[in-house]
Amino acid sequence: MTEYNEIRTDLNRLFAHKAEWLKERIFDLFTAPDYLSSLSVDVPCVLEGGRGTGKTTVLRGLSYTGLYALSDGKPSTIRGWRHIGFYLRVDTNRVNAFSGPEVTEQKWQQLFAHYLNLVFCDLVLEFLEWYATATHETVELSRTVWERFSQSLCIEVGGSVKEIRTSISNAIVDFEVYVNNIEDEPHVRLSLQGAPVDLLIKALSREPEFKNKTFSFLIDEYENLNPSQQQVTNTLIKHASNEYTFKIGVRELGWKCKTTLNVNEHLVSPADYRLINITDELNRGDFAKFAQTVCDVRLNVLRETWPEIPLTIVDLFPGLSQQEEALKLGVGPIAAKISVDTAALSQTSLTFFQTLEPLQKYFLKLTADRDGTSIEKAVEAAANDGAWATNFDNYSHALLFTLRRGKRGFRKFYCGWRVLCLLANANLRYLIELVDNSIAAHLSDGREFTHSVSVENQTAAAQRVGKKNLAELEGLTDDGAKLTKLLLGMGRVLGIMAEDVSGHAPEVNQFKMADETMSAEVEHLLQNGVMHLALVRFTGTKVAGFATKDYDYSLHPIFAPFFGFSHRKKRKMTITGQELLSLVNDTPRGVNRILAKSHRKPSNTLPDQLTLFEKYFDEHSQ
Amino acid sequence: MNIHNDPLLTRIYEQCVDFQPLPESVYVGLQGIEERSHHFQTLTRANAVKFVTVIREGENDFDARSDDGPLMTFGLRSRRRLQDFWKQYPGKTIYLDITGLRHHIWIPLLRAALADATQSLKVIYVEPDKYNATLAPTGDRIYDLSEHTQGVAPIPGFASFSRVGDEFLFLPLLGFEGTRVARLLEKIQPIDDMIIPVVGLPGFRPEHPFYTYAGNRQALEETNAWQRVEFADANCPFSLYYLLERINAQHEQQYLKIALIGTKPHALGAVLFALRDLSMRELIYDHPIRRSMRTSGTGRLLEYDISAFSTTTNA
Repeated sequence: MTEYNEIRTDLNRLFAHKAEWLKERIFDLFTAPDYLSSLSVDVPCVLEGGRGTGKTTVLRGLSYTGLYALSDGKPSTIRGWRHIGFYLRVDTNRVNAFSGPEVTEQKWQQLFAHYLNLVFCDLVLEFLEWYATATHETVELSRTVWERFSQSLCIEVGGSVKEIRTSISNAIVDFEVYVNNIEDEPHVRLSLQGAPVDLLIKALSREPEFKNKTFSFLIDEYENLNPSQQQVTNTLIKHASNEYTFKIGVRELGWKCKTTLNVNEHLVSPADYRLINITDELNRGDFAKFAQTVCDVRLNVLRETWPEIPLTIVDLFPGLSQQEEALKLGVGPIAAKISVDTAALSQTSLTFFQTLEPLQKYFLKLTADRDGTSIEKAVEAAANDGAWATNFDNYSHALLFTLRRGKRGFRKFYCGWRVLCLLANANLRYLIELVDNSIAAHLSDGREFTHSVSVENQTAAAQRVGKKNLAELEGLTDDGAKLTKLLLGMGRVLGIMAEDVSGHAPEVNQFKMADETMSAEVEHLLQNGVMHLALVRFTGTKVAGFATKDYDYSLHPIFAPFFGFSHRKKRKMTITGQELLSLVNDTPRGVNRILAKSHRKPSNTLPDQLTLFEKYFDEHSQ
Repeated sequence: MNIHNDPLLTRIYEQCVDFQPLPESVYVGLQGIEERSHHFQTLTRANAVKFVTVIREGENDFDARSDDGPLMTFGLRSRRRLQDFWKQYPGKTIYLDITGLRHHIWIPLLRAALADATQSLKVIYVEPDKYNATLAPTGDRIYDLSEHTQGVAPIPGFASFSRVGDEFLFLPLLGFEGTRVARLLEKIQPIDDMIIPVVGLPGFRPEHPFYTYAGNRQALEETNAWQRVEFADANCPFSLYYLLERINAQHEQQYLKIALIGTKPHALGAVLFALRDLSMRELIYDHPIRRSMRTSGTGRLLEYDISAFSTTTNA
């Protein structure tokens, strides 16, 4: 048991779900994604992705402390850097102080711009202190430069980095007092937006140590800025001098305002910035391969203490072929009960029947039941139908969801490295959660690392991760309760549809909005869902537009094992905004309303993992 | 610090009717949406006690009216206006009833009152008889206390702009609503082993600490913060203050972010503690909008002698 606890501790340490929890190990375990090279250019870049997609890791990797750690802490490498990045996470509890009726919106923007100047300049000066410590070389700017800079930032004049940083600290305290008593209109001098930053960076660029280097401000969690603050920062991005640039980390749909302080001036990609959507980039490349590297790096560290750990994570997660899974779900005994009257079949049809796999026989039986015909007639029709094999292929995966319909235990397996990667949908945090949970279940069963994780443990872990993220959703946003209900409702709809596939299109797991114009409530719900990873959106097959209605939506595949629907991107249904809202406002009736559109009936037998929500889904208890 | 040698300046009244304000004192409160906040309206209007009722709680200001006076508006981000509020009652004993007042109103008021050393300040808090349970779709909402939150933003007058790195200590004072701590973890992003949650123990009722654990289970489990939980009496601001002092002493020079998501007495203790050094202590609050029927009934009334406590801790 002690060994189990020790290995769990090591796993927790290395497979931490959040980048910040890795602390100094973040760079030891850093795996460069392919898109990193696109970021290392001298133009502003916007890194867009949901929580857990690796924005923070990448931005921190571009910071000077990150670059230093990635070059094994060798001071000699610093001179060779082309870029020097200053990392800043937007702190909600700070930026949300800049609003209120006491002063005009324009005044708040001026105050925020001054605050940014103080912070950006302090970041640069902090770097100079670090540089002096790391290289034992002090960058000396002239007294005149420091004076001009101090005047520009409206702080007390200082003659050294240390003195100037003290002045900035004092100015921040004064500024705090000002904002905290803004109604009293105390005196404060405000610097001009960007001016002291320009001055400082230009002065540094003239120094031999930093000639031909580009400085970048790496701003993480840009979504925490309100639209008015984003206007201020957008202006800096648009009009920054050549010596420095910006790299922005933001959640999808978190960039709420793309104009500068001049509302007619928009930031447009690629003219003003390069947009990198992490999910698209990782899906375009080989996410499974990238994720494997990320995990293998961690396994390498673990192997130092636990030599029996396999060389690659893929070996720990075996999958099942469709036929194997069907057999595991009990298609064998079901198919064995499907018998035909051999006398009623032609020799060709009999041979056709006898060579069928159990899942194919099961499909034939379902077809016969659906059409109200005999199994023999169904066999004859199939044997003579050139398209039957294609038809079966279309349904084969969907059939797996029906084999254990209404039964206790696993009704579908989610296993294998590729499947886990698809469930994560290019989200490293989700993938690491799946890996960590699966291994934890494996070890707690008393199994060794020399054995792979069972498909049961993989599936149970995937269900747990789905449930955990569902429960977390409520905490992620102020509208989290609505998103939770939407997810519960839509997840249940898709789960029931997956189990009741006969006579219906297989693997329906996406939806498209029917309404030409959507209410603000629906629009907000969908956008919030995408931003917080309850939903995934992608441009429809017909229109690649930008309006909310032009996208197709699906639940994030991480929730598929919990609700029991297909994680594969397949077919879509059309629903109205009213139907979507009904899932939130009255979930049981909303579920029934959408099911009725495809002539499906509600199901009372919840999968085991959903039984906690029995009352919630019972329309009579609401 | 030996807690047994420290003063616990709390008077507990089993029923609200047992409490009467001192003659010629000033009583400030708000009849809020909860039954327990109504009690002060039934206090005897005798002994020349002046009652000041907060009529409206705005985001950045509030309206108040004394028994016979005009309606007056006071800005929350104005030291001058808050001092004006208290200057109306020089040398009086002040009762600040925080039961019905929202945090963003009573905390700036308390701070301004403390700045006026001529007044004797007592804080009143009335426990509810019970919290109303709810049918929760997910496990972290045992009690339906908040409709929603307005998001993380500074308490007026407590904005901090100092640059804080990753190495700060996060101290969530836990309540029943696990979603609130989850949201703060997402926004504040503390390092997992730098989280020290505080549970109210003993609770207002014996079962409350269990509900606190159940409600916050997921966040405590995911961050492993359950291993570092500390306890302080749920209805005692001073116990919480001493606990924070002890934690602070154990983590010298560490910047502290204290999240006010637990009981109001805990919030009071945290404010008193933060006010001692705002350059190293930051209050975090998510501004919940309270549900109208979140509690029912009226429990014990607690009277905290803040001025006496401040004098003691200054000594």
